[in-house]
Amino acid sequence: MKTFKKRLLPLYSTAMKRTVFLLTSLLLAATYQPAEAQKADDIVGIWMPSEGTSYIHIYKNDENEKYYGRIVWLKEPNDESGKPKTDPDGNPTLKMVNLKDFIFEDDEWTDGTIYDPKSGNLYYCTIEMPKKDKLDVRGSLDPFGLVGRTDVWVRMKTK
Amino acid sequence: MMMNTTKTQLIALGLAWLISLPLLAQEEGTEEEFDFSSLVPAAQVKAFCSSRILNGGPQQLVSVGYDMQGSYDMNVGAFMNNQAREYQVNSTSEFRIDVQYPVISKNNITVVLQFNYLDTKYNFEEAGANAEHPFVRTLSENGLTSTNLATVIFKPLSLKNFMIFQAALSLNGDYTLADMQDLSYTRFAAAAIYGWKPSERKMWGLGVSRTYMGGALNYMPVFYYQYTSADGKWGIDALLPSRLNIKRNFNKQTILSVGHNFQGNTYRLNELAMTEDGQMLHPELRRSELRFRAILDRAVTRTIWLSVQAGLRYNWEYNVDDGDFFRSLFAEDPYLFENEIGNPLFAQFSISWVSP
Repeated sequence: MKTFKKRLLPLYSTAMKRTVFLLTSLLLAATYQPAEAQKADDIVGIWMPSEGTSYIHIYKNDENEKYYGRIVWLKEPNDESGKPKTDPDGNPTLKMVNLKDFIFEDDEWTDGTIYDPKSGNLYYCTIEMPKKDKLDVRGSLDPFGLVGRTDVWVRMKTK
Repeated sequence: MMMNTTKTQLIALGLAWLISLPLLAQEEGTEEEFDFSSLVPAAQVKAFCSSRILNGGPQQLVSVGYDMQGSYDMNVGAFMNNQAREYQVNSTSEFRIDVQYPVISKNNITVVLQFNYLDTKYNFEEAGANAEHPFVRTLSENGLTSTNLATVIFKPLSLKNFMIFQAALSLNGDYTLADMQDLSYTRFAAAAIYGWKPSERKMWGLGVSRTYMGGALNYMPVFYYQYTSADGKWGIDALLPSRLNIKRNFNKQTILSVGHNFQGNTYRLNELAMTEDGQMLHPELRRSELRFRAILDRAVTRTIWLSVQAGLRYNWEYNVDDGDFFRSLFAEDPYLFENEIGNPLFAQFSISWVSP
């Protein structure tokens, strides 16, 4: 038995080292991005606005390198008549892309817009990430964010 | 051996790069199958209700308006050596500016600063600057000016409960911008409300206020109520007893409201402070009126709205006290002198920059 181990262990160890190296490389390559791009992509994920009645999936569009957000979950998907909720123009709220065209610049996601499907209003929007699991989402009437409202969104994760 | 390791590394990196491409590129397409109910917040978070209801209408930020009352009689009471006399007011006009700025607007607190300026002018039939009665003289020459600075704090406590605090400083009197009034005559009003928001379409609350709504200082309970019907066509905006508006939303651009507005203030009459025989008084005009009105609000653009309102201006109080003190709404306590004024029709036009 000892002889068997002595003969096979070097072979086993070499194979094991290769496998670990392969997997590590895969993992590193899969997650590797330049530091700035990594920071910009920190926003990607599922987020819950402060009222807790919806989830927004923020993703990156690789064609134009901009960030978008889609409403992927509603606490109450139907209105009082039992029909799926819509915006004032009749567009379904669920699956709606309500965050558009954000670029990452000076540690914030800016130049984008946010659409409120309840009121049908479109606002200028800037997003900051004060903590890794929280977003300050400011919708405003003006492009400078002077007259607006900031909502705190929290990142959602699996249990 | 060294050669083999290098080859293996290159192959591994190449494979990894190929495999990683779709992982990096695509975030979409996985939503369909995902069970979102399995998610939990990654950080401690408390949900709060917002300060507005669904389809509650636009929120005014800057507004410039002009108000005009038709002709009415003014019976001015006897004061010192001046006999009681009836005057005819041809018209009363008021220029107003209202500014509201949300200095802090977050999901856990909203702080709004308000500035308000009103300049009221009286046009008498035949009295003018030569009127015998000093009260009519100062109304004719200076009119009444009101400058207010206020803050409103909306503090949500949870998804269902909130509090509203309001504090206001007012400088009212027969002063003009060129001849300002002493700031020691600034008056203070305040209100606190505890409220409930059972749904996105309804919020209501109860509170207390220190108010000059009836002309003189008073303490009153207040009832706050905001409501929009399920189809979004009807609504109620109430802060009783101060205002009640029943609203009909024809569409996103047009709102018709019918209701009342009960408002008042105390105005320092500087021109009456020193009598002819050298006596020092502290005359305060207790001005309070109840307006029954219809308002048509119409959007010109998404953020510019026009408003036209018309109705009846009913006089609640127009008497003069010596000093500022508490006076019950229905008190019969004597005044320095008492006036009676008619109840004309009025019209108001304003243009506003709003948050839709």
